Amino acid sequence: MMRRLVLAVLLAPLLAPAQMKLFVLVEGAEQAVTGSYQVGVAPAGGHLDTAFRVRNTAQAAAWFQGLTLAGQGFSFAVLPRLPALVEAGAAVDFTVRFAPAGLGSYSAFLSVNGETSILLGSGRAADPPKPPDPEPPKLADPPRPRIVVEPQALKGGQQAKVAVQFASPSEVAASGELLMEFKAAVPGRGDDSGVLFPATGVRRIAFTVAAGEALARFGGRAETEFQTGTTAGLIVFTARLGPHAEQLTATVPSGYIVIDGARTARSASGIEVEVTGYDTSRSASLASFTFFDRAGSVVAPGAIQVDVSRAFQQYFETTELGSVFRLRAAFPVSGDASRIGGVEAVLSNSLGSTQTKRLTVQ
Amino acid sequence: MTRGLILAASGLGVLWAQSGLGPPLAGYARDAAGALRPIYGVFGSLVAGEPVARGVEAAFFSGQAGLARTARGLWAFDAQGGLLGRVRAPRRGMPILALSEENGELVLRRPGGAELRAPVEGQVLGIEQIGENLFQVHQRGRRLAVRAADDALEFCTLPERFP
Repeated sequence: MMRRLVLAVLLAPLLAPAQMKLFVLVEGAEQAVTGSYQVGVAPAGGHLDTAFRVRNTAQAAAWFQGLTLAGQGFSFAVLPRLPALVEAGAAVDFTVRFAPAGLGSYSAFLSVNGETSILLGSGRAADPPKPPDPEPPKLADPPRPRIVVEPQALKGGQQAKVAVQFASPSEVAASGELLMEFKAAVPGRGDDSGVLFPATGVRRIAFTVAAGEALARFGGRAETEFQTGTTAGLIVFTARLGPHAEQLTATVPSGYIVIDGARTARSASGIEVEVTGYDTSRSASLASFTFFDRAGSVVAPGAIQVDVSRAFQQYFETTELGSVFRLRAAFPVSGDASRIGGVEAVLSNSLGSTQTKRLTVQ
Repeated sequence: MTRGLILAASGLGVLWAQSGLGPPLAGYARDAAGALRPIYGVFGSLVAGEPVARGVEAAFFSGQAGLARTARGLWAFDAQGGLLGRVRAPRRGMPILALSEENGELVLRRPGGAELRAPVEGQVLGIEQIGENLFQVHQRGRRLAVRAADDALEFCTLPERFP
């Protein structure tokens, strides 16, 4: 007898009359679903979720064990764990998703413990593409710098100007630096210490950018000088500013030997000639000296030519000063040296020859 | 062609060994920190070398020799930067070249009265001769190199060098 009673108690929920009621939750309030329910309109490609609730309205616990959904465009978005023993008055929630593939009317059968309701929905035209979310605001970076060299066509032995400019005024104040790198394009030592910013004496100079200005300032100036050096090659400028590192490559071309100065001096045994200058091509090959007496006539033996190529090659291999040089040549004189009044020097490289004016022998 | 006056061209090999190549010295210049430094290179491509003296209050270099004034006195030096000795007082006499600033112009006066003039921007704080035909003009934040060419004054910026 006792065994039968226990079995009856255990089977009671199954035997209890069906008291599971279906509700839809609208803004948190239960609305009974009877027969059919219009879930609404969803855009094609989009979806619409509807929350349902199954409540046990009986006086005793009951099993919620059957839940099915059949129909194109409808699916469960949130499912309860089934079967579930639902206490009297308690409820179980689930969610149905309506996702139409295109325009038109849709329907589905929703069955709760065998009780079936019809869900209805409509598909409309798809929503237009959602514009991308605006980028979150962030602190503005300084603008991309642009390096401007003046003049654009450089030459050796020159102090030119360089500026850092922007396409539009900077929104923020910032500071950066301008760097120079030199790569020789001719034989000899690969560097030229004459390539530098005179303001710092090195190849690095700091600059500042004020908010609202479209240029960088070097110690308050809108530009700064740089030396091109005396060796043919490439000068690579790099402007570093915030996240930017912009470069500009400028060329120092090869050219004739440039004579910057020349002078003469008498010595006890003769005459000394000193010529200073630079040879960007580092190809100096020949030096020629012609002496004149006080009347302007050429002194024998005439033009004295000296092959200087080896001496210059060795010099350019070791000097740190690029391609500047001071050439000294001593000439013994047989006879009255005081009768020599002038001298002209010609220095030649692979590109041509350069002549001094006639130097007076003091 | 002049006869009886002959250059010993045949001996050039020996001569060349006695002559040679080296870096050009443009002069000696005192920087803003009072260091006296050799200046190498050519006009427009100058490089400041290591100082030969510090604590220099004023300096002059003619191209052959120079004077440097410090708190301890006046000193003479040669073209290699070597100390020649202490000088009791500078010799008085007519300078070979003289550069001055007059009403926004730099004025170079040569012996005989010839003048070269050129406008200069900014305030001139001081002028020193640093080479045979080379001057430095101290200005706020920079130094100009001014070269007395035959018929004009030429300008470039003297490179700074910080220790």
